[in-house]
Amino acid sequence: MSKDTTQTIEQTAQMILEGVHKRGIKDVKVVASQSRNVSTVYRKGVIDKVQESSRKDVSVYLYENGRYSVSTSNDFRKDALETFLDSAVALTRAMEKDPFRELTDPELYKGRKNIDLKLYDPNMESFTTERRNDLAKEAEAAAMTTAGDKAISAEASMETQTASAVQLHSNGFEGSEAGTQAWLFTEISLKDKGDKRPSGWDLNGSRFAADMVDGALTGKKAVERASLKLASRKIETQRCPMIVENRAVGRLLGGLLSATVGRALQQKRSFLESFEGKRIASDALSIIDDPFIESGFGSRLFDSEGISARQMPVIEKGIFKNFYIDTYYGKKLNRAPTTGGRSNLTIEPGLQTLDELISELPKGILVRGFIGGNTNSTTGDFSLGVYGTLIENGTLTHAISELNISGNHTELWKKLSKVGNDPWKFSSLRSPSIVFDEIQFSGN
Amino acid sequence: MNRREFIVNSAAMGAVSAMGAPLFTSCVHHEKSVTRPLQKYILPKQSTGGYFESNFGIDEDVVRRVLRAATSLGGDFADIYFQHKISDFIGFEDGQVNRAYAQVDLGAGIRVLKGEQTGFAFTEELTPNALIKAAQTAASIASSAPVKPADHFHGVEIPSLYAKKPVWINVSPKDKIAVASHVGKKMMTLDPAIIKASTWFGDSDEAVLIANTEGVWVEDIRPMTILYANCAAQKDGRIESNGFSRSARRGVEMYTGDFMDEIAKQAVERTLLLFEATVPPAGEMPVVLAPATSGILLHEAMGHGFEADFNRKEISIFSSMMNKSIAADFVTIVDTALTPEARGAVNVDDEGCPGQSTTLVENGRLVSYLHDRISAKYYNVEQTGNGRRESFRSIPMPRMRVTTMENGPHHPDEIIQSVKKGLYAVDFANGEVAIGAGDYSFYVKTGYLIENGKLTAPVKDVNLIGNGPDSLKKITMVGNNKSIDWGTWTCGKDGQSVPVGLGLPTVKVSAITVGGVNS
Repeated sequence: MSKDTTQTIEQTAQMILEGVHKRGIKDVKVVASQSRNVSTVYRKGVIDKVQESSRKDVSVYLYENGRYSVSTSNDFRKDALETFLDSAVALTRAMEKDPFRELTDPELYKGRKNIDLKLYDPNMESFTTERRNDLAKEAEAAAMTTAGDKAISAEASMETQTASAVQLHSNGFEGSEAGTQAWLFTEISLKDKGDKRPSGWDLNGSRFAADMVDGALTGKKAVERASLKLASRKIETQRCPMIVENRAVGRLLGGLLSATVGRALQQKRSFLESFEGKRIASDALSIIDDPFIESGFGSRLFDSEGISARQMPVIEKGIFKNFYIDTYYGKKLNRAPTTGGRSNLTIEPGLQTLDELISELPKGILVRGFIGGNTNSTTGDFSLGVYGTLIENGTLTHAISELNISGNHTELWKKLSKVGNDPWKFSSLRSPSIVFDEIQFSGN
Repeated sequence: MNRREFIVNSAAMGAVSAMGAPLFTSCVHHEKSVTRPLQKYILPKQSTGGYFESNFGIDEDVVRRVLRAATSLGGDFADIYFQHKISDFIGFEDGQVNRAYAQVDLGAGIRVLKGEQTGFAFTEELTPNALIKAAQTAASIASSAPVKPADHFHGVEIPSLYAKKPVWINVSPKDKIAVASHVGKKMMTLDPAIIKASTWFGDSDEAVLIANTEGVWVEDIRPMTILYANCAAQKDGRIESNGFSRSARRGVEMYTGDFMDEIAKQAVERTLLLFEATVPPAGEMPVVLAPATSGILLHEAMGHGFEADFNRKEISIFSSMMNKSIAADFVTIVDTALTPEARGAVNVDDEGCPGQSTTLVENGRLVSYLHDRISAKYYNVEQTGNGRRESFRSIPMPRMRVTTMENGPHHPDEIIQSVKKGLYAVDFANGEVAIGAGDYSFYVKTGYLIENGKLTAPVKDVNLIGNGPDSLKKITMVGNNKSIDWGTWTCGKDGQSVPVGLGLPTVKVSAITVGGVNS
């Protein structure tokens, strides 16, 4: 029953690699990871939940003459590991031969930068329970106090995480990474007319413990956010300009990005197939995949295939530049791999604040968030539920809800007219607020 | 930081990453609603032979020591949830089965409750020392006189809605590959326009053991399988893609030739239909929901709002509506664990409460929320068996199982004929709800326009948005053709995903805002 809890993930990865070799499979990638999360949730002035978790697991990627499988386990009992590797090998050998399935080309391991991305804060380990509790308590209390007699219920959660991983490839790649994160999240529900109880949230997140100082701020901001939804109403179906607030852009952009992956391209599910090197958006849009942002939430020196990280333009002044191509779909498409997955995405900011962008619109809608909806990545058609605030004569007038926007991504981004100067920093997607000329809103 | 309440049907999502799990049998099951005082279900505990005792040496003595450690600092209650899950996914693409993903997940979550407060920790190592250490961490929530764990454990009488034994462990990879391959190759033969076909086959055996300070000791073994087929077709330079999936708590016997052929056929037909379909006009209009899959309306517009954690915190729009009339008297909504072999079926919930059926809305009146242990204590009612969790790493909370509407008085044809101009919604990809504001939406993958009481042009890819209590009041007709959907529905809440089911007869909602484009 015992497992050696003192074994490091480096030792685990090495042991698994040897176990696979012993079973006669030469080409293998091993990823061993571990993480520890601790969180506190406050509600009604007391601790609602405390949660502590430590996890460790290992994944083996096996390649044998085009046969391929991935197996993951967190059961490190000696016998269980032997059985796990036996099954992983048997599963691989049951697969059909796929001539395109190979480990990463070692040439792509070269050129890895030797820089400190500042993703790990040793002080996170000593983030005390008292401090977590105090921050969550302050945040919840600030939310309730700020909301006053409009308050129904608030919750604040404070979570810290330390994570690390080791990656070994049998053809010469070794990499390890470690990162820390701390997040304070506050949400409050407010009384409104009728039975409605709109809620709003705000958060603060950082890779550094020292950045978690003002517990009350997210509480106050959550109330501001919730207040923006009070007395919301539906409006007439219409076409008008749309501003999407920085924190909400991800849901809209996600539809465009779903078509940028190699699998979608090779499997004929990408509406961007014919747009490579062509205009997909207005001049105002430039998006770069940037793995080197200091302390970024998606920063890295190599990707999951060991490919050395580099900056990659996705859209440059409206021209679609690059798909995300991994080794496998690169071979299938007869293209050089770029990288299989996103790191940080930066939308090049403009010069104006959100308030300035609003003040320029005689009429329009500020979209603050999306509810549901989806994008067809094959055709580019999208349809999304939205809520936000009506803009009249350059001023925010009243909250609106229960609206849909619909269109096609191959046309939508060409209507993008301006980009704000307010990139959202609490995500690997660093998007400012963005303005579109004319969008179809569906309402009454 | 995922606070969204949403649902995803992996069949209609483009991305393979939206894996959930699917099944078949086109039967419809009817359950009676029952309230079950837990005491009725107490059985003597089997002395030996449990899954976790045989495989991991987890006996009464170990569990008693862990529960004692969990309550050493006080608290009203503690429980431990052991889980061992072995899963496989096998993929077919470009004519061959060329990828497989396997996972072993093992651990135990320990929870201590004090009123509405929760202390929680988990361990992935099932040694007494590791378990006790986790219990001590979870204990930190409490600071009062400790509750004394029961001296003896007892069993719980639970239904047998599925095999209750590992059914996949001895199925060879070859047999699984045969399923993925058959459906993939079949799609390619069904129409010359098909240019790409891919399938995902998935299976899992999941064993759980729940024991608590009240003496409950109950094990369940929950099999699951999914099959997801997706294809792309090209006509006159245009490409469309769509998919179809099935999921159930069944074994390999589910995959008969007819069953697999039907999945391939549905995926191809649904893809080809898109060439005829257009985006509908924008605006508010009557919407008729086709039977089965349209149960997504219940899940989003009402189901989440009925979850009692949101109501005890008074943050659901339904929290002031208990015992009030919220819909026409022909509207009855039930959430049940008792649909045999359904994806959302559970013999026992993840807090040890037996699987049962819960009537939420009875003849238009809101009569019950969906409860877990904390909310049932808060409201002083019986637990409803809705305490579910994604895994041993997560805290249980009220979740749906199979959510359906009972039959109403109307004939489906009569419902469609009653609409002059509107939308007939057939197939759905996903949905989401804002619990407090009540606004919900769901994404229609395919449907038809209704013009002068008849289905006319097919439509596709449009989002519908409404307000839950408002839409309930606007249910003006309910058909007599209730049907359960066996698709791959996965529900997300507070970052936790659980498999669910849904169903509906044909239903008319007199007005919903349809996305779309006006020329």
